[in-house]
Amino acid sequence: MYSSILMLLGILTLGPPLAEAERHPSGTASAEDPLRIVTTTTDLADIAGIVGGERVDARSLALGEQDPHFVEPRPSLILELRRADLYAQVGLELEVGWAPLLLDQSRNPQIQPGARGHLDLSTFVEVLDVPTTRVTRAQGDVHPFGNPHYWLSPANGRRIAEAFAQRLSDLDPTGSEVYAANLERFLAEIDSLEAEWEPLVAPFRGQPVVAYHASWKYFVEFLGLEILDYVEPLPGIPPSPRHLADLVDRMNRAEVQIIVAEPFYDTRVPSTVANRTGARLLVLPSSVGAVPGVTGYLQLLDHNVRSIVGALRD
Amino acid sequence: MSQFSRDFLRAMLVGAAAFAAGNPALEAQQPTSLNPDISVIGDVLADLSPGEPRFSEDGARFSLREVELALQAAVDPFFRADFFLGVHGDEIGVEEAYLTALALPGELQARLGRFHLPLGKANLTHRPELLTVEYPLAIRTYFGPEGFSGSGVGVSRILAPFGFFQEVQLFVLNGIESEGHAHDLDLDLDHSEHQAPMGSRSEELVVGGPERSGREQFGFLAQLRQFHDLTPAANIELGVSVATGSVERYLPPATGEATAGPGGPDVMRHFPTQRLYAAHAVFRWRPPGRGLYRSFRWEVETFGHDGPESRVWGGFSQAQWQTGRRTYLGGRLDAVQLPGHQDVELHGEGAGRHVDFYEGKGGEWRYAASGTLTFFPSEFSRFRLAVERTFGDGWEEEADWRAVLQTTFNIGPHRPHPF
Repeated sequence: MYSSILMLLGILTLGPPLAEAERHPSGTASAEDPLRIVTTTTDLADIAGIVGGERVDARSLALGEQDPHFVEPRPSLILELRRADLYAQVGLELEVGWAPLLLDQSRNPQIQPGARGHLDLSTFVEVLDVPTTRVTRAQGDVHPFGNPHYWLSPANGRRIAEAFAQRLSDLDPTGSEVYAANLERFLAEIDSLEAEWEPLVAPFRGQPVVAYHASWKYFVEFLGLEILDYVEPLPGIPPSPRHLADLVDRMNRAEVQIIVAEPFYDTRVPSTVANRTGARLLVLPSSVGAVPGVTGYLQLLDHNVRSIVGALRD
Repeated sequence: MSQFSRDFLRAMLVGAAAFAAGNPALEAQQPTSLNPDISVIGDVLADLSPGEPRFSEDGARFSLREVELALQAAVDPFFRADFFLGVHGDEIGVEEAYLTALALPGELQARLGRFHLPLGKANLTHRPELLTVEYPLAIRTYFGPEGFSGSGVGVSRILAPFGFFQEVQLFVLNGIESEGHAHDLDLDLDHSEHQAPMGSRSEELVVGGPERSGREQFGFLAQLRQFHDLTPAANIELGVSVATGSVERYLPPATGEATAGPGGPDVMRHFPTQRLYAAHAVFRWRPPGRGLYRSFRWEVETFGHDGPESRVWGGFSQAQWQTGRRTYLGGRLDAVQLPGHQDVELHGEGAGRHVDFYEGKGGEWRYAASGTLTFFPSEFSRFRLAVERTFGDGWEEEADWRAVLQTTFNIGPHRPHPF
């Protein structure tokens, strides 16, 4: 028995290392040997891919159609992380239920918190809904450090891209010019889209909307609309009949025209509210890949802007 | 409750209260604070069984079965620490306490301390977080009501030679008898004393023979598990585990009937080998776009117990179907063969004392079928109604129908169990 155990230990410890200790020690990523970026969400992966170009291989742990709060920490995701050069997360405890577990099990010291390969993008953006008073679970599944759905603001999309460009240049200095050029092109595309959107959204500024979850705060604020209330009475808490009755009453008085919800929520309750108020239920993707045809970050923003404007126009 | 337990509990609660006292200045410091994540789970049972209460361990209709206090944090860039303390009635026990090395070379990960052991799958989950109210019958029978845990050191490595996840874990332990609550297999002197008619400490069995030495001091456990994503919605995990080690048993001091003169040993200890086996398969289905509302999990585990008295096996199959965002229906079928055991009984006193040895061969089958209806008002609270029917050889006089309403609630950031 002793010999069997020792043999197994030998295989475990002396076998070929499955990941190089430092895959790109001198900053030599290339199309043939790209930097491996693993992000928690598809939106971050798309932006990282745009900034990194052919010098990176960016992929996401969560699928676009999944609620990023509730991703199962499957062991297959550990395989993605164990060879990553850079791990990037939304932060603000959006992924607290699954990402830390995967990081711990990744056996990859390069991407642990504090390492150069760990990028928490919430530290680069402007965060809304940061609690100013004591936070308790009586307030629902509240995020104690602020609203984490910040990628739906183009301004934060810019900051995310800038953060990627900076970190990729740190990890791969020989590619810094490529990253800077890709960043510049990305920022110019956002500027161009914003110029297109401006006349579309201008007539509707100040109009009230209702959202299912607090995830639309950044996007609605960017459009200049106002959130009257949420279908959820508190984050993560299903609505009670009393809350819905009150919501219908307030929506009727405020003449709310649209209710916005993500595809991963059941539409029965918001549909009922929409039917009682004459509002239109808009099921909009909050992440890249959540609906067919939305395959990139800029497409995501463009799709959502035009959908909301179209609904308000109707 | 011991003085240590009282002082420790007081210190923990005062510390937790201070942490959660919640002045804005403290909250502002939280993102950079060095406090560990502190969480507490309460597990309350309301026994609805017909006749006498049959679910709660203390025989009461309402019982606070367990309070689990978890303290978890990174120690430094190289290690993290996890402590899980269980409060049962007036006693505080260490359910798990271990250090995990995160920065070992060769993609190794090591764990040192006391932990639930990876013999099968269900045993790794803490009792309040199980899919059912109690551990499966095989785990309860072979390892006790709180599962199979032990102290030692373990090392694991991920392998992916075929592109899918495989993990090998090896543990060196203080034997392979659970360090949880006492159970059927724990034959020790306390057990013998209960059977001794004199029963006082001064009249304990006198045990002779050598202490554990060499490999008898250790138990070994190994597990290989592999995981496949079948589709974006479905996956399967397969695993096999084996553990081996010595257990303490007793022999007569001389051949023939057990007798001993004054001052001589009543029994002689020896350390026969015991082996444990487990195999598990877990199928999970959760469609990515509807994962908040629909999921299914089916799990099968078998356990083999190859001890000095008997070679028996048991297992279970359980399934859970998510019917809505907050509701789940579940069921489990259990079958277990009772293990053999050794009873050592002391008679007489002084020069007339003698010892009888009884070797129960075990092998009788027991079965259970149970169903659960679970409702989560939120992620942090849960109500579960469970009904169980037990039957099998020699079980007629024990519980047949059992029913319980379990309420479980959590405060603080409790880290999820590994998938």
